Parts: sequence; C-alpha cells; structure tokens
Amino acid sequence: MKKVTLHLLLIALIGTGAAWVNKSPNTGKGKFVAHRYSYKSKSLDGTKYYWTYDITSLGWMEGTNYDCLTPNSATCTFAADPSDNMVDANGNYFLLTDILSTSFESGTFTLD
Amino acid sequence: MRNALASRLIPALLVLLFTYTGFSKVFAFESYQGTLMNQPLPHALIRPLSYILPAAELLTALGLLIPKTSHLALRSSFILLTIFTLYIGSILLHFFPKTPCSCGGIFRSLTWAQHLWLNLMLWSLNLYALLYRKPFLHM
Repeated sequence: MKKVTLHLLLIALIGTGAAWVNKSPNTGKGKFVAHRYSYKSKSLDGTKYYWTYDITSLGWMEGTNYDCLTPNSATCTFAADPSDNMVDANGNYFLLTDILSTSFESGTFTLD
Repeated sequence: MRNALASRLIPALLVLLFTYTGFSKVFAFESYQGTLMNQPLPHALIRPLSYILPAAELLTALGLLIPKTSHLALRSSFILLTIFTLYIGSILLHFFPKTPCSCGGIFRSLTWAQHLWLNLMLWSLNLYALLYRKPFLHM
C-alpha cells in the first residue's frame, strides 16, 4: 500500500504554491500600510462611523487623483488600517469606531 | 465513474482547497489574525482559533494524502465545511452585529453570497465523496 497518494501530494504542492503567490501582505499592528478612504459616513442612529471607497486600492495618487482640502472635513481623505476594512451587502466600508455596538446597521447613512 | 469522482477528483479538490486556505493563513499570519479580529466572535476565542483553524485545515489536507486516513480526513473536511457554511449563512442572515470582511487569498475577492455558494458546492461534493467513495481504495 502506498503511504502517500502521489497525485494528491502534487496537488498539495500546487495549493501551497498558490497560497504563497497569493498571500496577503502582513498588516500587523504598527506595520500596516495605511490606506486612504474617500469620505466618512455616520449611521442614522449615530452609533457607528463608516469610511467608504478605499482609494489606495483603486490606485489613486495624492496630488494627481485627489487632494486633501482641509483636515477633518467631509471632503478630506485620510489614512487608516486596511485590515479593518469590511464588506456589507452594498459594498465596502471601513469601520473605525464602534461607538455603541447594538445591532447590524444597514440602509442609508448620512454624510458627516 | 462515480467512484472515480468520489475517490480521486473530490479528494484532490479538497486537498487543493485546504492546502491553499491553510497555507494562506500561515504565510500571512498577522494579516490573517487581523481578519479574524474583525469577525463577530468572542475575543477570547480569536487567539486559540487563529492556530486551530489553519492546523485543522492542514491536518485535513495531510490526512487526505494518506490512504489509511483519507476517509477520516473526508469526515473532518465535511465537518469544517459544515461549520464554515453555517457561519457564512449566519453572517448573511445578520445573526451577528456586524458583517466582517471575508478571508484571505483569492477568497477575499468573493462576496459573502458567492462564498456561500462556493461552500455549498464544496460541501455537497464532500458529502457525495463520503457516500460513494469505496473506503481504502488506493490509487
């Protein structure tokens, strides 16, 4: 009896190689590459903030594709840890602050 | 034909799946732990789970490689896929307070609904292999 099935071993090596090629960059605390997000939204009940459109992933360059007008304004881009990026039923958003986590938020969000 | 599918093709697919997902977690461990932190799970569970999950996936893949343990590994794979599928189903049904981003590698690009369909397909194939595979058929 064969101790290991050879064709499966080959497939395991392919799986390992694919994992290596497609590995995500490590984004540990203090080591993450900060991404910029285009604007901030607030849930209607005021318990959560969301940051939408990861423009770093879209390849936008500051000064070429966008400008940060004034800090803390709704039109200003900002940096954040991409590992906190989340996906909801409508697309991507970025959750930075859980003000009071009560229930799943969905639907329309007001712009801050 | 039925036995070839259950004994050769489906185990091969599962080996590919579990080596890929297991090693994706190992090769980018910090990033994977960060993703796990975003899951709606108790924080006390995150650290042990971050080791248990890739270990279970890789042991399942290893078990599938060895004819003596391949049937046991098929069961282990079935249990893992059942847990993952139920988890994705719970996310889609909004059982949790937040919807996290999905796992790493190429699966990151899938929506949760696509992820659910993929898992259901793999789960069904795994079940088929468990039902129709002749135990200890060596290739």
